[in-house]
Amino acid sequence: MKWRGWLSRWVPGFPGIILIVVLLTVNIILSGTMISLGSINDLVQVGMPLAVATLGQGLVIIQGGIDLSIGGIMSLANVLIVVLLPTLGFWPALLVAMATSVVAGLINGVVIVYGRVQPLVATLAMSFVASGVALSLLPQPGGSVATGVGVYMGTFLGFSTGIWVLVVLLLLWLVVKRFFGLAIYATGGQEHAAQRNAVNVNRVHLWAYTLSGLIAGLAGLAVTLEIASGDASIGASYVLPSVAAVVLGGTSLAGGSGGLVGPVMAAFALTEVSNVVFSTGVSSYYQTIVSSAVVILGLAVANIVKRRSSLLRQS
Amino acid sequence: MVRSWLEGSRETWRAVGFGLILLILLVVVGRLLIPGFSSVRNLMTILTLAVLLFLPSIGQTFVIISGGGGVDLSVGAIMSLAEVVAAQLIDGHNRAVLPAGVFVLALGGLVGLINAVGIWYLDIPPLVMTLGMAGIADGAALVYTNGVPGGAASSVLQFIGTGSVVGVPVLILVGVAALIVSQLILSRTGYGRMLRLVGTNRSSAQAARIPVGAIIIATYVLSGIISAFAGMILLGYTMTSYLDAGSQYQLTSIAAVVVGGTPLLGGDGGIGSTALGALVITLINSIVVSLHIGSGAQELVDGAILLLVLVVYGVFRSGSFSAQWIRGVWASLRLPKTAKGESP
Repeated sequence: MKWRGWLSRWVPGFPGIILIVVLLTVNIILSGTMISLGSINDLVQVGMPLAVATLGQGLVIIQGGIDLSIGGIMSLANVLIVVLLPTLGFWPALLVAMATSVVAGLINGVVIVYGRVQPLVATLAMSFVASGVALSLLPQPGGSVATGVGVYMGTFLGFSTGIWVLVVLLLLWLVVKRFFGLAIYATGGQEHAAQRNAVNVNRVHLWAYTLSGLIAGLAGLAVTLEIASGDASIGASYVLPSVAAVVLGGTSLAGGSGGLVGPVMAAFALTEVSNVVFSTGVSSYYQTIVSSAVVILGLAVANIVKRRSSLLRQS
Repeated sequence: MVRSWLEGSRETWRAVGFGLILLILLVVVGRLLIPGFSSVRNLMTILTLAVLLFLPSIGQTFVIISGGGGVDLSVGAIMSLAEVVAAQLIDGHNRAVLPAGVFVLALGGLVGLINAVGIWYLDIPPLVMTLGMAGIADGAALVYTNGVPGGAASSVLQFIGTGSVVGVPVLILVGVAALIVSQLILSRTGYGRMLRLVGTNRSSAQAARIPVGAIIIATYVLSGIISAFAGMILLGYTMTSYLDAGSQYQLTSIAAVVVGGTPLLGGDGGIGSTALGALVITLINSIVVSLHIGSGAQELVDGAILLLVLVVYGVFRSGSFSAQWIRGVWASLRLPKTAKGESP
């Protein structure tokens, strides 16, 4: 029964996938227009920063941690690109921004592994550091980015650049999972057991936080290309939604289970929620209420369904 | 005697010792860097600010002790909502304080109850559930005020927030009272003892016929009520209401609990150590603020010091600073030559 194995591998991502389908349908009904490639491309463009941030968050959560510094690092990358762009040019500025993001992630890892600090507070402190640096470099939002925006906003074979980038990132994740998946999931599930079985858990943690830093930098790049300017507080609003998207995508906060496809879908679902609320013409005051309620209801329904199905299997 | 009354493990006590040393160190540093830092008036101001952080951290402590990944990200939003609603209802009238207070506390309790229902009955992770409720509470405050918060504290509330009795700010007295009451709840009531057991090991608590569900629900409701109370007090301190007044406490309340030495795993910790943690964080913050280095650098230094404190504390508290620890760090810094035995 090959399909059953396939199903069980993909079912964890189901809440996110179902949610996005439901929301797209709702949006079609509300706006009265059919869904088109254009509208999907638009959604991907707007949802890209959160989707990328969710990738890093998901990786860290799977190996048994959490990363609250993603927003700070996003802001820092955004500000570095904008501030360095006039003197260095686009690519060197991008390189510096990514290198800084990697270093920030590495510091997270070192502090958590060797400093024995709980990930939640360690990355929280790091987020203060990163956004502090960003704010000192660029006290007022400003600057502009022209290079690369055209490519980012453009399409390739009909799909927006963002979709291709995401596909590449998810394929990379599959490669990582193929080679290091066992170590990553074992570390997240039962750290001590993994250690006893010769998994170098410290190295897994270090790599995960470093990679998360790099991915946060990429998310910062995505947000830079989207707003085409700099803002030292731009990343803050992505931190907790990224955690919500991971959970909504069927990856347990406890670590050691789940995947990244569901979380990415859930990230787009969260973006789509705002789109739907926007297109209903309701006051923007209700925006946070509705998106929070959707997260809670989505998880509640998913858990109830899960409980039902496990009861069925028992009987 | 005192120790048995306060309870807490050896690690908690090591944390308290560490916190006290840190506290003295910070005051000395502040004194050296900033003229007039150790004046009684300035220290009183810092203490009052620490009380404002300590109050929501009390609920946070209870929730974190309850274990199971327990954390309450809605404390800040409940504070904001309580502050805004209370300001509108009171609008400068002293006789409105009591009914408004009751209403606001009930509102906070309701948010806590919804948190608990989601966490206990629907298996939603506390981090996400309380985060969602934070969004809803923030949105509710926006909708309620239509984006323009109005109203003001009455003179009684203002006295609680900014007044002083024989030279001691009332807020400090409120903080001390809250400390004593909540520590008594934690160590002297059946609820407190059961809370520790639930946090230490949920399934064995269940096996011991402890009403785990009721304890957890009560804990989140309590946290909601305490946060609403903190919001009222914050209104007294700021006198007028702001929309995001409480948001800064969302994550710093967790930091206060952790710096105090309560592990996020649950089951352990106390209110006294949280008070220390809140004091340490407020001290760091006010030293950095008095340096006048711009808001960006301020945030940076704030975060860096917090990181440093956490690392020093993490290494020394767990007693892991040893030859073995150094060897471990050294081993992993070397190039991965020994990767033979590792499974991929």
